[in-house]
Amino acid sequence: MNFVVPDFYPAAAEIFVAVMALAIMLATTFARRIATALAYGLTQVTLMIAAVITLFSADASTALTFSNMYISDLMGSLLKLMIYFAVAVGLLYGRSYLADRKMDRPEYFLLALLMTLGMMVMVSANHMLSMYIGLELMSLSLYAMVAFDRESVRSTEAAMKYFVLGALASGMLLYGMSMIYGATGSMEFSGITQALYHQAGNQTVLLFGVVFLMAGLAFKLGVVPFHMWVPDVYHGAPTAVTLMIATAPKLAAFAMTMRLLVFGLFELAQHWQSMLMFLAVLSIVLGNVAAIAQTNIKRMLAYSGISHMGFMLLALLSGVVEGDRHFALNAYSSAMFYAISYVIMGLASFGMVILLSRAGFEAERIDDFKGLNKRSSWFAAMMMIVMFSMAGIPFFIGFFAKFAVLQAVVAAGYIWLAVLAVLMSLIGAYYYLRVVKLMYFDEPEDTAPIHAPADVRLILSVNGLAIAFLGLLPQGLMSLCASALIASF
Amino acid sequence: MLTALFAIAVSALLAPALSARMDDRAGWFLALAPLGAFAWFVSCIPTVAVGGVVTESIAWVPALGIDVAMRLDGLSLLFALLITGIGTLIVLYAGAYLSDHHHLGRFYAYLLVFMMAMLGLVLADDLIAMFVFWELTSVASFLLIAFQHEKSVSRRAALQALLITGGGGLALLAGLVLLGIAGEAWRFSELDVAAVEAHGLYYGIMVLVLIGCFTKSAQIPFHLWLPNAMNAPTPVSAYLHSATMVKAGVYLLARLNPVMGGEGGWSDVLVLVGASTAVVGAVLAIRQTDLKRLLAYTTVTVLGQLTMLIGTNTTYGLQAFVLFLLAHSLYKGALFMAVGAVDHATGTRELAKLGGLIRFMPLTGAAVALAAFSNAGLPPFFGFIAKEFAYAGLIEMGVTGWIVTAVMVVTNALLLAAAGLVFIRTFLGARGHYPREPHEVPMPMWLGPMLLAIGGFVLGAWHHWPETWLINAAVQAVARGAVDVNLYLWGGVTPAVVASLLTVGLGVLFYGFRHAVRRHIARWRVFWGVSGDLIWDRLLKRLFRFAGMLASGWQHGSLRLHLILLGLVLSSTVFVGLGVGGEPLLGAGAHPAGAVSPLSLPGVVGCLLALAGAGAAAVMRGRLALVTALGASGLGLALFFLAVNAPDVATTQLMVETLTVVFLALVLRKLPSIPGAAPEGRGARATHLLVSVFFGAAVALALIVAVNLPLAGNISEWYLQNSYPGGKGGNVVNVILVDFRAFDTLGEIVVVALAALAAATLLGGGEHTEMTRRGQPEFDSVLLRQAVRPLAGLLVLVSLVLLWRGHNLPGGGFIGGLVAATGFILVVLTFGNYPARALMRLRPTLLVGAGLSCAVGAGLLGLMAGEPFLTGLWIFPLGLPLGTPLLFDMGVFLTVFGSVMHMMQRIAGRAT
Repeated sequence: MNFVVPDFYPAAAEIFVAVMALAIMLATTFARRIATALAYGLTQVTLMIAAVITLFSADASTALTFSNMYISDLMGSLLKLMIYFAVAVGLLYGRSYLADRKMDRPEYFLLALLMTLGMMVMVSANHMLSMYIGLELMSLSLYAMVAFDRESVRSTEAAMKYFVLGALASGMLLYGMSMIYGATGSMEFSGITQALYHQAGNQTVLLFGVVFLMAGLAFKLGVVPFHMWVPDVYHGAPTAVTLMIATAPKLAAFAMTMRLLVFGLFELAQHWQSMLMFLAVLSIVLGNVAAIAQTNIKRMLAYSGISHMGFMLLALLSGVVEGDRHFALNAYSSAMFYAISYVIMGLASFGMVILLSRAGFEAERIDDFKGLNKRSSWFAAMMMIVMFSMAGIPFFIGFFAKFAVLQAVVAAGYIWLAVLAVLMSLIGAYYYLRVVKLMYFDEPEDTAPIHAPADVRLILSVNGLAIAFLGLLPQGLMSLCASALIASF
Repeated sequence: MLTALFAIAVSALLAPALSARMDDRAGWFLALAPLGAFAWFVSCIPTVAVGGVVTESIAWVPALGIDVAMRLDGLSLLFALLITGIGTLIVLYAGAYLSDHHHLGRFYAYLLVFMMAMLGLVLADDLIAMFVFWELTSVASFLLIAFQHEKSVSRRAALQALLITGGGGLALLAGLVLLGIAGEAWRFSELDVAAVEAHGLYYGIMVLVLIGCFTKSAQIPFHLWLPNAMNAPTPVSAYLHSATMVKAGVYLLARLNPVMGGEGGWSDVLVLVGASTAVVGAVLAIRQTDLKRLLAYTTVTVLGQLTMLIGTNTTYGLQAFVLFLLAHSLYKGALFMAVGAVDHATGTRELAKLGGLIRFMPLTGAAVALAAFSNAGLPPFFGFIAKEFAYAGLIEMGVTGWIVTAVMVVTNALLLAAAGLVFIRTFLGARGHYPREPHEVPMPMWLGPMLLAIGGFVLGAWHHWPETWLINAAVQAVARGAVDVNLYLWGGVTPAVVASLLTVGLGVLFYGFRHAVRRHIARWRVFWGVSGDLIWDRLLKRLFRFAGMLASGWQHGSLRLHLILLGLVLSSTVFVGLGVGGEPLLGAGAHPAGAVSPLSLPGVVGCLLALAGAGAAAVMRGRLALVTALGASGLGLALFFLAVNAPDVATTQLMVETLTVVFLALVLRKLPSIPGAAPEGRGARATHLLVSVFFGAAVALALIVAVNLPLAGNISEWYLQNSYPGGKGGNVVNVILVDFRAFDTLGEIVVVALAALAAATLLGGGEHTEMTRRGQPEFDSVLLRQAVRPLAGLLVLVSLVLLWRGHNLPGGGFIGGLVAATGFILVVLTFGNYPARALMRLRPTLLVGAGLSCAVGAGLLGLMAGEPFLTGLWIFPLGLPLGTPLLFDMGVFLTVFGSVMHMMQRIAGRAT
């Protein structure tokens, strides 16, 4: 067998994170007494250095390595930076939560790091197998994290469901991949595109492949009708873990959708667009309506997440109109902007739930937010910003995210979709605004002072203000998304 | 203009700090920003009055094509003057009104933010920028209402206000986006009127925009939120809910009137909705006993009338619109502030308790008198001219106009009565009963009402000023074509004057018999009830019930149902795809005839066995029975593999199946039964069976279609040709495993070894695994015990043979390892794990290590010979070809064997 030593440079960040994960595992085994603090600190440092590496290795050119299984481009770099950021903030929010409940074992941080690695591989996959490996690394870490509260029946049950359904979805994904491989003779995305361009492969097999692929994708994105795990898992997992599931993996799922569908199966756009439309419409309708009936804020945010993912799909499906690719870049960059803004909002919303909780009290009910203005008008304002932003009210980032998507959808000519989306956002506004009303007009039920470490308070405030700031001046992030996609195409 | 916005925003940011440092004087300082802006807008009057516009623009979000484009024309200027002018007075007023409130600084900040947003709204030329400011006014308004809520009733009201204005805002957004596309521009001033009117979505745009405007301006049926929002502190009510924010909807209607106001039903809708709002508002106003709520409902009336006046689209109507807008802002702002002052001074706003206040509060009283005259529409006040023109405009419309005029006469009469209540009942007559000793309010609190009220008088008496400088330009901006503006106080005996006289007469009558009027109105209580909150509550309840149904349908939390859903969706999609693709199931001629394997008896038997096993698994209940049934299914599969000439695969399948059954049985037998897990009913079982068959059929069909199609290239051909020359082996499968793709195999055995180590750790025990000499009780039979020994020995021998011959004939290290493990497992099961261990002499982990080293060593040999890693090296002692692949295969053998045994030892240690 002949080996060519691959070019390691483009994957420097991944290699670094992988090595650090192993190093942390060893370090915490030996330094038992300070294991948790060590694992936490090293994980944060790792994420920071990885960010620096990614930042410095990012340029407008695209590099392939590991026999073209790995691609390094600007879209990937931007998403990776956001992933580091989301994971780091998530760990920071979750740390005291875990410590209060005696769950802050070093393995948690290790799993988070491995999850990050998985997501990085997904983001940079240029091959169906590397995509799959990344996905599994991420999913397996998440399954374990969901079950991290081993004593809790709810937590373990959620993990069990997540695992069984997730395994099934992965199976479908693999099945779809194998069919596409069978039809095109390539596992590499550019190879698939070329084969499809030359009309290779049987349309029926390809169609089946796309169907199975979409099923797997839809599950990972958590969109209807493959959403069933989302509320159960969000509710069952410890809030710190819910925060992790709800944020960074959405970026990875976005990257996966982009790589598989846009980079790989662009020629089949007419097939997957109609499927995406089906998924998106169902998600937006069900997510928004079902969220109204919730009394648990984690479940409410779960359904809201479902509808947000549906919204993101709206942008993805407006890329190509009857073979006209004129709008593609605009549509995909608005989807990316949507995903990123959702992650920022998700971090803040679950961060607020964590902020209000303490050992023995989860602050999971929406009613626990009652009268927050009286308890802390600052954090009530932060939560209000998040809720307004999620509802799509201007001067917050959520508005521009929604607006960009709507513009893409309308440009693609799907007026009815845009109207439906707005109508459903209107219903969606109800449950977000209800939270705001509870905070400002009702009397608090829980009068204990808010107990949270200074770093959580600080970062949560920064997070909330960032939503407002990016809502005021979204141009920077928006053009970053656009130029990243332009450079990557 | 941008500077003005910026200055107000900066002062909003500074407000909390300033207020903390300077307490009372902060208001005077903060009022400088709006005052400066007001002065600037005044300086623009000459430019705009002659038809000029002032524009400014900076890019905001170029990626979405949004600019902060500002355009000052007559309409904008009028609004801007009102916003900054009244705003200045309100800031001063608020300082005195809330002087003892410790969050006054925050209140200033909200108020100034609102002012900035409102100013942005009326100045923006960009559709989207306008919308952004629009929503910001809603947010600021919410914060201001929430600032000081006294009653629990206000909670529902707050959510209501948020939802109605927020929801309406979203509808407006959709409308504006469509409008921008239809009008081929994103500026109000550049919209292509003809294109919009001809566009297919004209009605959609109209409905969406109207929803947005009607919610903001509290038109029927969205009027509920406005009176409820009156729980806010009085400065807020005076500023937001009468003078400025609620007029945003009217502003947008006026702004779009030139674009949308063609022959599309726009006018009719506006007149209808506006007139009904006006009537309902007036009737409800007369019913109120709280001064502030009374004013709130008269505001609803006025908003209705303004909407209606835009709808008339007549020369007089549009003039009346602008006049009325200005007049109302002046007098209503004054009245609200005065009512707040009364409340502040006396501690009550209940009409029954008030009276004779003029003695205590002469200055406020004078302001109210002036404002109330204007409100009542009496000459020579500005309100009179506005009313006069309104009648003229309506009459101009023809028959509909006459009907509306009649309704409006009654409405205005009611307003006049309401104005009477505000002034006569409160300030004249006998002294009321006050919770507090009344006193005149400080200067900032009477200054505002006084200035505004005097303004109303001056503008009316010297009406040619506003006509030249303000009204004309504003009317031109609202009208679709040029309009001739000519104001007059007295234009001879026209129908409008008659209507006016009627109004005054009726109004005086209404005031005189106000108690009777109230009684009559109260009789129709049911009607007023229906129009209001009832519908709102019903709607919410319905929505809740629907959402609850939907949510509980999904939230069963049952994994089984989730899986069923997943399976059904996927298989249905496959069937649909099959229908769409239209691929023939048995690819007619796509395959060369010889490539299809003929049906053989063993193959059919194998398939049947597999089916039977699966069927049994679906029917049986016991855990062990299930495992066995699945095992049988696997055996059938192995048989099938054998029948289609795949002995390697078949043997592996056989071994894996056997070991799986043994392992599962050992574990499951020890597991306690799960408490609370009820066995599923018959119906559930049938459903599950059906779903699985459906799913299986879908996958099978997909497979058949996939297999049926010719693949590009033929990989197996290459291996068949190169197997012997390149790998010196006849068994292609084995050659691939140990030579061509040996690196993959190395990876796999590493995984097997790691999995075994991890699994064993999970099983627990560690070094202290119990070593037992007892086998499983089921093996406790002499015959069996005697038979096992030779059988185990035989199996181990067979395994060695398999390993040796593997390169050329079916067999190989992997299969060999499994067979050897099976032999030892028999020993463990019969005699316990101690004898097995003794027989092996080595720890299983050592075997695993040895196996891995063997495999890696085989690779290193290749490397040492100067070839790449894992290159096969061959020697031929006595003509017998021996090569590193054999060494590698031994490594595989040992690893697999050791791994299985490692796990088995642990399970057996716990399972006895």
